[in-house]
Amino acid sequence: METVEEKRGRIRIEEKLKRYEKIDFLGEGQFATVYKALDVETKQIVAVKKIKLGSREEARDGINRTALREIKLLQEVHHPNLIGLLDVFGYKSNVSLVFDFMDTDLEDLKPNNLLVNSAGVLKIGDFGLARFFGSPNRQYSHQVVTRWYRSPELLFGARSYGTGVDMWAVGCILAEMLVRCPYFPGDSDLDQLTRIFTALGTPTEETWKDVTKLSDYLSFKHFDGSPLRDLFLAASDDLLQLLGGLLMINPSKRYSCTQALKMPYFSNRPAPTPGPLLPLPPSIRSKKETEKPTLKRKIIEESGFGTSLAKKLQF
Amino acid sequence: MELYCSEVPTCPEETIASEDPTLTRDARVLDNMMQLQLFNVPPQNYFKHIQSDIQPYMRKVITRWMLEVCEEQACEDRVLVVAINFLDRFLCSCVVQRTQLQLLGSVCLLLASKLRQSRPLSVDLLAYYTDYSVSAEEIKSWELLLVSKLGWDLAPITACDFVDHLLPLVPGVGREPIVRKHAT
Repeated sequence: METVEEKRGRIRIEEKLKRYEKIDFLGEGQFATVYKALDVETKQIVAVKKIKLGSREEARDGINRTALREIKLLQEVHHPNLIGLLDVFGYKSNVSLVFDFMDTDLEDLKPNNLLVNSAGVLKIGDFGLARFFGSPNRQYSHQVVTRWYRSPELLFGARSYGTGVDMWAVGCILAEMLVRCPYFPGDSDLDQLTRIFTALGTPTEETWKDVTKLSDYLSFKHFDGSPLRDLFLAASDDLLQLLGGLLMINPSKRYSCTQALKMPYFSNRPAPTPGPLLPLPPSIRSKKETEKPTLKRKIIEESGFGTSLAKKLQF
Repeated sequence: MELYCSEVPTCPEETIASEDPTLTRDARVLDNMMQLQLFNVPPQNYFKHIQSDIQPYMRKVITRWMLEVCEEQACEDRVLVVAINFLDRFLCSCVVQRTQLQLLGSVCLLLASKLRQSRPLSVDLLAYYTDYSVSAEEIKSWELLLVSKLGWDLAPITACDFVDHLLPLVPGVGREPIVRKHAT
Protein backbone atom coordinates (compact mmCIF):
# COMPACT_ATOMS: atom_id res chain seq x y z
CA MET A 1 0.00 0.00 0.00
CA GLU A 2 1.22 3.44 -0.84
CA THR A 3 1.89 5.62 2.16
CA VAL A 4 1.00 9.30 2.22
CA GLU A 5 4.67 10.19 1.91
CA GLU A 6 5.18 7.93 -1.06
CA LYS A 7 2.11 9.40 -2.70
CA ARG A 8 3.37 12.93 -2.18
CA GLY A 9 6.70 11.88 -3.59
CA ARG A 10 5.02 10.38 -6.60
CA ILE A 11 3.00 13.49 -7.29
CA ARG A 12 6.13 15.61 -7.14
CA ILE A 13 7.85 13.29 -9.58
CA GLU A 14 4.97 13.48 -12.01
CA GLU A 15 5.23 17.26 -11.87
CA LYS A 16 8.90 16.97 -12.76
CA LEU A 17 8.12 14.72 -15.67
CA LYS A 18 5.79 17.41 -16.98
CA ARG A 19 8.26 20.22 -16.31
CA TYR A 20 10.68 19.04 -18.98
CA GLU A 21 9.16 18.69 -22.41
CA LYS A 22 11.13 16.45 -24.69
CA ILE A 23 12.15 18.20 -27.91
CA ASP A 24 14.70 15.94 -29.50
CA PHE A 25 16.69 12.81 -28.96
CA LEU A 26 20.36 13.72 -28.62
CA GLY A 27 22.12 10.46 -28.18
CA GLU A 28 22.36 7.16 -26.47
CA GLY A 29 25.31 5.56 -24.81
CA GLN A 30 25.91 2.47 -22.81
CA PHE A 31 24.72 4.09 -19.60
CA ALA A 32 22.37 6.87 -20.45
CA THR A 33 20.03 8.38 -22.98
CA VAL A 34 20.19 12.11 -23.52
CA TYR A 35 17.33 14.29 -24.68
CA LYS A 36 17.07 17.93 -25.55
CA ALA A 37 14.13 19.37 -23.61
CA LEU A 38 12.33 22.57 -22.80
CA ASP A 39 12.07 23.56 -19.15
CA VAL A 40 8.47 24.73 -19.10
CA GLU A 41 9.02 26.82 -15.96
CA THR A 42 12.06 28.78 -17.08
CA LYS A 43 11.61 28.45 -20.84
CA GLN A 44 15.24 27.36 -20.94
CA ILE A 45 16.56 24.66 -23.26
CA VAL A 46 18.14 21.88 -21.23
CA ALA A 47 19.69 18.47 -21.72
CA VAL A 48 18.07 15.64 -19.78
CA LYS A 49 20.33 12.65 -19.18
CA LYS A 50 18.32 9.62 -18.20
CA ILE A 51 20.51 7.03 -16.56
CA LYS A 52 19.71 3.54 -17.72
CA LEU A 53 18.63 1.25 -15.01
CA GLY A 54 20.89 -1.41 -16.39
CA SER A 55 20.48 -5.11 -16.29
CA ARG A 56 18.06 -6.82 -14.01
CA GLU A 57 20.99 -7.76 -11.85
CA GLU A 58 21.94 -4.10 -11.42
CA ALA A 59 18.39 -2.91 -10.99
CA ARG A 60 17.98 -5.26 -8.07
CA ASP A 61 19.81 -2.84 -5.83
CA GLY A 62 17.87 0.26 -6.67
CA ILE A 63 19.36 3.51 -7.88
CA ASN A 64 22.51 3.23 -9.98
CA ARG A 65 25.37 4.19 -7.71
CA THR A 66 27.56 5.72 -10.39
CA ALA A 67 24.67 8.10 -11.02
CA LEU A 68 24.44 8.88 -7.30
CA ARG A 69 28.14 9.67 -7.18
CA GLU A 70 27.98 11.80 -10.28
CA ILE A 71 25.13 13.79 -8.76
CA LYS A 72 27.04 14.21 -5.50
CA LEU A 73 30.04 15.61 -7.39
CA LEU A 74 28.08 17.83 -9.70
CA GLN A 75 26.44 19.44 -6.69
CA GLU A 76 29.83 20.17 -5.19
CA VAL A 77 31.34 21.87 -8.15
CA HIS A 78 30.35 25.27 -9.40
CA HIS A 79 32.54 26.72 -12.05
CA PRO A 80 31.91 28.50 -15.32
CA ASN A 81 33.83 25.75 -17.12
CA LEU A 82 32.07 22.80 -15.59
CA ILE A 83 28.73 21.65 -16.83
CA GLY A 84 26.00 22.83 -14.50
CA LEU A 85 23.56 20.39 -12.95
CA LEU A 86 20.23 22.16 -12.86
CA ASP A 87 17.95 19.53 -11.41
CA VAL A 88 17.67 15.85 -10.57
CA PHE A 89 14.62 13.72 -10.40
CA GLY A 90 13.81 10.08 -10.16
CA TYR A 91 10.99 7.85 -11.14
CA LYS A 92 10.92 4.34 -9.70
CA SER A 93 14.66 3.64 -9.57
CA ASN A 94 15.38 5.64 -12.72
CA VAL A 95 17.31 8.82 -12.28
CA SER A 96 17.40 11.75 -14.67
CA LEU A 97 19.88 14.61 -14.52
CA VAL A 98 19.07 17.99 -16.00
CA PHE A 99 22.01 19.96 -17.40
CA ASP A 100 22.73 23.20 -19.18
CA PHE A 101 22.21 22.52 -22.84
CA MET A 102 25.47 22.58 -24.73
CA ASP A 103 25.67 22.90 -28.49
CA THR A 104 28.37 20.38 -29.09
CA ASP A 105 27.98 16.80 -28.27
CA LEU A 106 27.47 15.67 -24.75
CA GLU A 107 29.75 13.31 -22.31
CA ASP A 108 36.68 11.18 -17.87
CA LEU A 109 38.64 13.91 -19.53
CA LYS A 110 38.64 13.23 -23.25
CA PRO A 111 37.58 15.38 -26.16
CA ASN A 112 34.08 13.91 -26.15
CA ASN A 113 33.57 15.23 -22.64
CA LEU A 114 34.58 18.73 -23.50
CA LEU A 115 31.55 20.65 -24.57
CA VAL A 116 31.48 24.05 -26.17
CA ASN A 117 28.37 26.21 -26.37
CA SER A 118 27.61 28.73 -29.04
CA ALA A 119 29.09 31.50 -26.86
CA GLY A 120 32.42 29.72 -27.10
CA VAL A 121 32.45 28.65 -23.46
CA LEU A 122 33.99 25.26 -22.81
CA LYS A 123 32.62 23.00 -20.11
CA ILE A 124 33.72 19.64 -18.79
CA GLY A 125 30.83 17.27 -18.99
CA ASP A 126 31.13 13.97 -17.18
CA PHE A 127 31.89 13.09 -13.63
CA GLY A 128 30.72 9.53 -13.59
CA LEU A 129 33.93 8.28 -12.11
CA ALA A 130 35.51 11.44 -10.85
CA ARG A 131 36.60 11.24 -7.24
CA PHE A 132 35.31 13.48 -4.57
CA PHE A 133 38.19 15.79 -3.78
CA GLY A 134 38.43 15.50 -0.02
CA SER A 135 37.57 11.88 0.47
CA PRO A 136 40.84 10.01 0.43
CA ASN A 137 41.29 6.48 1.65
CA ARG A 138 38.78 5.11 -0.75
CA GLN A 139 39.38 2.18 -2.94
CA TYR A 140 40.33 3.36 -6.36
CA SER A 141 39.91 1.46 -9.54
CA HIS A 142 42.46 1.68 -12.30
CA GLN A 143 39.79 1.17 -14.94
CA VAL A 144 38.96 4.83 -15.01
CA VAL A 145 39.50 7.11 -17.98
CA THR A 146 39.02 5.95 -21.53
CA ARG A 147 42.08 4.03 -22.63
CA TRP A 148 43.48 6.53 -25.12
CA TYR A 149 43.73 9.15 -22.41
CA ARG A 150 44.83 6.78 -19.65
CA SER A 151 48.15 7.47 -17.99
CA PRO A 152 51.01 4.93 -17.81
CA GLU A 153 50.56 4.47 -14.02
CA LEU A 154 46.91 3.53 -14.50
CA LEU A 155 47.80 1.15 -17.32
CA PHE A 156 50.35 -0.48 -15.02
CA GLY A 157 47.59 -1.00 -12.49
CA ALA A 158 48.39 1.69 -9.92
CA ARG A 159 45.58 1.96 -7.40
CA SER A 160 46.98 4.87 -5.57
CA TYR A 161 47.13 7.66 -8.06
CA GLY A 162 46.66 11.36 -7.95
CA THR A 163 45.51 14.27 -10.03
CA GLY A 164 48.39 13.45 -12.38
CA VAL A 165 46.08 11.09 -14.28
CA ASP A 166 44.04 14.08 -15.35
CA MET A 167 47.11 16.06 -16.34
CA TRP A 168 48.15 13.17 -18.58
CA ALA A 169 44.71 13.22 -20.18
CA VAL A 170 45.05 16.97 -20.72
CA GLY A 171 48.40 16.34 -22.43
CA CYS A 172 46.81 13.77 -24.74
CA ILE A 173 43.98 16.17 -25.59
CA LEU A 174 46.42 18.98 -26.28
CA ALA A 175 48.45 16.70 -28.59
CA GLU A 176 45.23 15.63 -30.32
CA MET A 177 44.30 19.26 -30.94
CA LEU A 178 47.68 19.79 -32.60
CA VAL A 179 47.64 16.78 -34.89
CA ARG A 180 43.84 16.51 -35.10
CA CYS A 181 43.73 12.81 -34.46
CA PRO A 182 44.15 10.87 -31.22
CA TYR A 183 47.79 10.80 -30.18
CA PHE A 184 47.82 7.32 -28.60
CA PRO A 185 44.89 5.35 -30.09
CA GLY A 186 45.68 2.03 -28.45
CA ASP A 187 43.38 -0.90 -29.16
CA SER A 188 44.34 -2.81 -26.01
CA ASP A 189 46.07 -1.85 -22.78
CA LEU A 190 49.28 -3.46 -24.05
CA ASP A 191 49.06 -1.63 -27.36
CA GLN A 192 48.36 1.58 -25.46
CA LEU A 193 51.58 1.29 -23.45
CA THR A 194 53.56 0.31 -26.55
CA ARG A 195 52.38 3.42 -28.36
CA ILE A 196 53.22 5.65 -25.41
CA PHE A 197 56.70 4.20 -24.93
CA THR A 198 57.49 4.20 -28.66
CA ALA A 199 56.77 7.90 -28.77
CA LEU A 200 58.14 8.99 -25.42
CA GLY A 201 60.63 6.33 -24.38
CA THR A 202 60.37 3.25 -22.14
CA PRO A 203 60.58 4.00 -18.41
CA THR A 204 63.18 2.31 -16.23
CA GLU A 205 63.73 2.17 -12.47
CA GLU A 206 66.16 5.08 -12.96
CA THR A 207 63.63 7.32 -14.68
CA TRP A 208 60.64 6.18 -12.62
CA LYS A 209 61.40 4.76 -9.19
CA ASP A 210 59.29 1.74 -8.18
CA VAL A 211 57.61 1.44 -11.58
CA THR A 212 58.49 -2.27 -11.59
CA LYS A 213 56.51 -2.74 -8.37
CA LEU A 214 53.16 -1.72 -9.88
CA SER A 215 50.72 -4.62 -9.94
CA ASP A 216 50.33 -4.87 -13.71
CA TYR A 217 53.90 -3.91 -14.57
CA LEU A 218 55.34 -5.54 -17.67
CA SER A 219 58.81 -5.08 -18.97
CA PHE A 220 58.78 -3.50 -22.44
CA LYS A 221 61.25 -3.40 -25.25
CA HIS A 222 63.52 -0.42 -24.81
CA PHE A 223 62.55 2.58 -26.86
CA ASP A 224 64.42 5.87 -26.68
CA GLY A 225 61.45 7.91 -27.75
CA SER A 226 61.76 10.81 -30.11
CA PRO A 227 61.67 14.55 -29.47
CA LEU A 228 58.15 16.03 -29.55
CA ARG A 229 59.45 18.49 -32.12
CA ASP A 230 59.69 15.67 -34.70
CA LEU A 231 55.95 15.08 -34.67
CA PHE A 232 54.54 18.47 -33.74
CA LEU A 233 56.24 20.37 -36.52
CA ALA A 234 54.18 23.52 -36.36
CA ALA A 235 54.02 23.89 -32.57
CA SER A 236 55.83 26.74 -30.86
CA ASP A 237 58.60 26.04 -28.33
CA ASP A 238 56.55 27.21 -25.35
CA LEU A 239 53.73 24.87 -26.35
CA LEU A 240 56.10 21.91 -26.68
CA GLN A 241 57.54 22.73 -23.27
CA LEU A 242 54.02 22.55 -21.81
CA LEU A 243 53.19 19.36 -23.70
CA GLY A 244 56.43 17.74 -22.53
CA GLY A 245 55.59 18.56 -18.91
CA LEU A 246 52.11 17.09 -19.20
CA LEU A 247 53.26 13.95 -20.99
CA MET A 248 55.89 12.98 -18.42
CA ILE A 249 55.76 9.21 -18.08
CA ASN A 250 56.78 9.35 -14.42
CA PRO A 251 53.75 10.77 -12.57
CA SER A 252 55.91 12.36 -9.89
CA LYS A 253 57.68 14.45 -12.52
CA ARG A 254 54.53 15.37 -14.42
CA TYR A 255 53.39 18.99 -14.12
CA SER A 256 50.63 19.74 -11.67
CA CYS A 257 47.85 22.03 -12.77
CA THR A 258 49.43 24.99 -10.97
CA GLN A 259 52.84 24.32 -12.52
CA ALA A 260 51.30 24.01 -15.97
CA LEU A 261 49.44 27.31 -15.66
CA LYS A 262 52.69 29.09 -14.80
CA MET A 263 54.31 28.01 -18.05
CA PRO A 264 55.22 30.78 -20.50
CA TYR A 265 52.78 29.32 -23.03
CA PHE A 266 49.89 30.85 -21.12
CA SER A 267 51.39 34.33 -20.90
CA ASN A 268 53.16 34.53 -24.26
CA ARG A 269 51.42 36.13 -27.18
CA PRO A 270 49.05 35.61 -28.88
CA ALA A 271 46.37 35.93 -26.21
CA PRO A 272 43.40 33.55 -26.45
CA THR A 273 40.50 34.48 -28.69
CA PRO A 274 37.45 35.58 -26.68
CA GLY A 275 34.83 32.81 -26.61
CA PRO A 276 32.12 34.52 -28.67
CA LEU A 277 34.63 35.25 -31.45
CA LEU A 278 35.61 31.64 -31.91
CA PRO A 279 34.54 30.12 -35.21
CA LEU A 280 31.61 27.73 -34.92
CA PRO A 281 31.51 24.40 -36.67
CA PRO A 282 29.17 24.42 -39.69
CA SER A 283 26.74 22.16 -37.92
CA ILE A 284 26.40 22.36 -34.18
CA ARG A 285 23.95 19.57 -34.10
CA SER A 286 24.67 17.05 -31.47
CA LYS A 287 26.13 13.83 -32.53
CA LYS A 288 25.92 10.44 -31.08
CA GLU A 289 27.17 10.32 -27.58
CA THR A 290 29.81 7.81 -26.76
CA GLU A 291 29.79 6.86 -23.18
CA LYS A 292 32.65 5.90 -21.09
CA PRO A 293 32.73 2.65 -19.28
CA THR A 294 31.87 2.30 -15.73
CA LEU A 295 33.22 0.05 -13.08
CA LYS A 296 30.93 -2.94 -12.87
CA ARG A 297 30.10 -2.85 -9.30
CA LYS A 298 30.60 -5.96 -7.37
CA ILE A 299 27.58 -7.30 -5.72
CA ILE A 300 28.13 -8.63 -2.31
CA GLU A 301 28.15 -12.37 -1.99
CA GLU A 302 24.78 -13.26 -0.75
CA SER A 303 25.49 -16.73 0.33
CA GLY A 304 26.37 -17.13 3.93
CA PHE A 305 24.67 -14.04 5.27
CA GLY A 306 25.55 -14.92 8.79
CA THR A 307 22.98 -16.16 11.21
CA SER A 308 22.78 -14.16 14.36
CA LEU A 309 21.91 -10.57 13.58
CA ALA A 310 18.79 -10.63 11.49
CA LYS A 311 15.96 -9.27 13.51
CA LYS A 312 12.80 -7.30 13.35
CA LEU A 313 13.08 -4.36 15.68
CA GLN A 314 10.18 -3.83 18.05
CA PHE A 315 9.58 -0.31 19.24
CA MET B 1 36.83 2.00 -33.11
CA GLU B 2 34.84 1.91 -29.94
CA LEU B 3 36.23 3.51 -26.87
CA TYR B 4 34.59 1.23 -24.39
CA CYS B 5 36.98 -0.28 -21.92
CA SER B 6 35.07 -3.29 -20.92
CA GLU B 7 37.79 -5.08 -19.07
CA VAL B 8 36.49 -6.76 -15.98
CA PRO B 9 38.12 -5.14 -13.00
CA THR B 10 40.18 -7.57 -11.07
CA CYS B 11 40.47 -6.40 -7.53
CA PRO B 12 39.87 -9.31 -5.22
CA GLU B 13 41.65 -7.65 -2.36
CA GLU B 14 40.30 -4.36 -1.17
CA THR B 15 43.14 -2.03 -1.66
CA ILE B 16 42.71 1.28 -0.02
CA ALA B 17 44.30 4.24 -1.69
CA SER B 18 47.12 5.72 0.30
CA GLU B 19 47.22 9.31 1.41
CA ASP B 20 47.12 11.74 -1.46
CA PRO B 21 49.17 14.80 -0.52
CA THR B 22 47.37 16.79 -3.19
CA LEU B 23 44.40 16.58 -0.85
CA THR B 24 45.84 16.49 2.62
CA ARG B 25 48.48 19.18 2.11
CA ASP B 26 46.16 21.65 0.47
CA ALA B 27 44.59 23.93 3.06
CA ARG B 28 41.71 24.68 0.70
CA VAL B 29 40.36 21.17 1.16
CA LEU B 30 40.15 21.54 4.94
CA ASP B 31 38.60 24.99 4.58
CA ASN B 32 35.99 23.64 2.25
CA MET B 33 35.17 20.81 4.57
CA MET B 34 34.79 23.22 7.48
CA GLN B 35 32.27 25.21 5.53
CA LEU B 36 30.43 22.26 4.06
CA GLN B 37 29.92 20.45 7.35
CA LEU B 38 27.48 23.13 8.44
CA PHE B 39 25.09 22.44 5.60
CA ASN B 40 24.26 18.93 6.60
CA VAL B 41 23.59 19.27 10.28
CA PRO B 42 20.04 18.11 11.03
CA PRO B 43 18.25 21.44 11.35
CA GLN B 44 16.05 20.79 14.34
CA ASN B 45 15.05 18.58 17.23
CA TYR B 46 12.64 16.35 15.40
CA PHE B 47 11.41 14.58 18.50
CA LYS B 48 10.01 17.87 19.69
CA HIS B 49 8.79 19.51 16.52
CA ILE B 50 8.14 16.94 13.80
CA GLN B 51 7.62 13.42 14.97
CA SER B 52 4.77 12.32 17.20
CA ASP B 53 5.26 8.57 17.28
CA ILE B 54 9.05 8.42 17.28
CA GLN B 55 10.73 8.66 20.69
CA PRO B 56 14.38 9.27 21.47
CA TYR B 57 14.91 5.73 22.71
CA MET B 58 13.82 4.42 19.31
CA ARG B 59 16.66 6.29 17.67
CA LYS B 60 18.98 4.47 20.00
CA VAL B 61 17.48 1.11 19.04
CA ILE B 62 17.63 1.76 15.30
CA THR B 63 21.14 3.20 15.29
CA ARG B 64 22.37 0.31 17.42
CA TRP B 65 20.96 -2.11 14.85
CA MET B 66 22.59 -0.13 12.05
CA LEU B 67 25.89 -0.33 13.92
CA GLU B 68 25.54 -4.10 14.27
CA VAL B 69 24.90 -4.52 10.56
CA CYS B 70 27.92 -2.34 9.74
CA GLU B 71 30.11 -4.25 12.16
CA GLU B 72 29.11 -7.65 10.87
CA GLN B 73 29.50 -6.54 7.25
CA ALA B 74 32.84 -4.89 8.05
CA CYS B 75 31.67 -1.67 6.47
CA GLU B 76 34.09 1.18 5.96
CA ASP B 77 34.14 3.65 8.87
CA ARG B 78 32.16 6.38 7.23
CA VAL B 79 29.18 4.31 6.18
CA LEU B 80 27.52 4.31 9.60
CA VAL B 81 28.02 8.00 10.31
CA VAL B 82 26.75 8.99 6.90
CA ALA B 83 23.75 6.66 7.25
CA ILE B 84 22.86 8.21 10.63
CA ASN B 85 23.19 11.66 9.15
CA PHE B 86 20.70 10.64 6.43
CA LEU B 87 18.38 9.21 9.09
CA ASP B 88 18.37 12.36 11.21
CA ARG B 89 17.93 14.68 8.25
CA PHE B 90 15.07 12.59 6.94
CA LEU B 91 13.36 12.60 10.32
CA CYS B 92 13.60 16.40 10.33
CA SER B 93 11.54 16.61 7.17
CA CYS B 94 9.15 13.73 7.17
CA VAL B 95 6.76 12.19 9.69
CA VAL B 96 7.14 8.44 10.05
CA GLN B 97 5.62 5.76 12.21
CA ARG B 98 7.66 3.53 14.48
CA THR B 99 6.78 0.60 12.23
CA GLN B 100 8.61 2.32 9.38
CA LEU B 101 11.76 3.08 11.30
CA GLN B 102 13.64 -0.10 10.47
CA LEU B 103 12.74 0.35 6.80
CA LEU B 104 14.18 3.85 6.99
CA GLY B 105 17.34 2.59 8.71
CA SER B 106 17.83 -0.04 5.99
CA VAL B 107 17.43 2.52 3.22
CA CYS B 108 19.92 4.87 4.93
CA LEU B 109 22.46 2.04 5.10
CA LEU B 110 21.88 1.14 1.46
CA LEU B 111 22.40 4.67 0.26
CA ALA B 112 25.38 5.41 2.52
CA SER B 113 27.11 2.19 1.46
CA LYS B 114 26.59 3.04 -2.21
CA LEU B 115 28.21 6.40 -1.70
CA ARG B 116 30.90 5.67 0.83
CA GLN B 117 32.01 2.12 0.24
CA SER B 118 33.59 0.38 -2.71
CA ARG B 119 31.34 -2.64 -2.16
CA PRO B 120 27.77 -1.58 -1.37
CA LEU B 121 25.39 -3.55 0.79
CA SER B 122 22.78 -5.29 -1.32
CA VAL B 123 19.07 -4.72 -0.94
CA ASP B 124 18.50 -8.42 -0.28
CA LEU B 125 21.12 -8.48 2.42
CA LEU B 126 19.51 -5.53 4.18
CA ALA B 127 16.09 -7.18 3.95
CA TYR B 128 17.65 -10.26 5.51
CA TYR B 129 19.00 -8.22 8.41
CA THR B 130 15.47 -7.05 9.19
CA ASP B 131 14.47 -10.72 9.38
CA TYR B 132 12.41 -9.95 6.26
CA SER B 133 10.09 -7.66 8.18
CA VAL B 134 11.05 -5.17 5.47
CA SER B 135 10.86 -6.26 1.82
CA ALA B 136 13.38 -5.57 -0.92
CA GLU B 137 10.65 -3.73 -2.84
CA GLU B 138 9.94 -1.42 0.09
CA ILE B 139 13.64 -0.60 0.41
CA LYS B 140 13.89 0.28 -3.25
CA SER B 141 10.78 2.43 -3.26
CA TRP B 142 11.92 4.32 -0.15
CA GLU B 143 15.37 4.91 -1.58
CA LEU B 144 13.99 7.46 -4.01
CA LEU B 145 11.87 9.02 -1.26
CA LEU B 146 14.97 9.38 0.90
CA VAL B 147 17.13 10.97 -1.81
CA SER B 148 14.44 13.43 -2.76
CA LYS B 149 13.79 14.38 0.89
CA LEU B 150 17.52 14.94 1.29
CA GLY B 151 17.42 17.18 -1.76
CA TRP B 152 19.88 14.80 -3.48
CA ASP B 153 22.47 16.25 -1.15
CA LEU B 154 24.26 13.03 -0.38
CA ALA B 155 27.77 14.02 0.61
CA PRO B 156 27.61 15.13 4.23
CA ILE B 157 30.94 16.02 5.80
CA THR B 158 31.24 14.14 9.05
CA ALA B 159 33.77 14.19 11.87
CA CYS B 160 35.51 11.11 10.40
CA ASP B 161 36.37 13.03 7.26
CA PHE B 162 38.65 15.33 9.21
CA VAL B 163 40.90 12.63 10.61
CA ASP B 164 43.16 12.32 7.58
CA HIS B 165 43.54 16.05 7.36
CA LEU B 166 44.18 16.71 11.02
CA LEU B 167 46.48 13.82 11.86
CA PRO B 168 49.40 15.17 9.81
CA LEU B 169 49.06 18.47 11.67
CA VAL B 170 49.55 16.89 15.07
CA PRO B 171 53.22 17.05 16.02
CA GLY B 172 54.81 13.72 16.70
CA VAL B 173 51.92 11.69 15.29
CA GLY B 174 52.65 9.66 12.21
CA ARG B 175 50.17 8.01 9.94
CA GLU B 176 50.33 4.62 11.56
CA PRO B 177 47.07 2.80 10.88
CA ILE B 178 46.55 2.26 14.59
CA VAL B 179 46.56 6.01 15.31
CA ARG B 180 44.13 6.60 12.49
CA LYS B 181 41.85 3.82 13.64
CA HIS B 182 41.63 5.18 17.14
CA ALA B 183 41.15 8.72 15.94
CA THR B 184 38.22 7.59 13.80
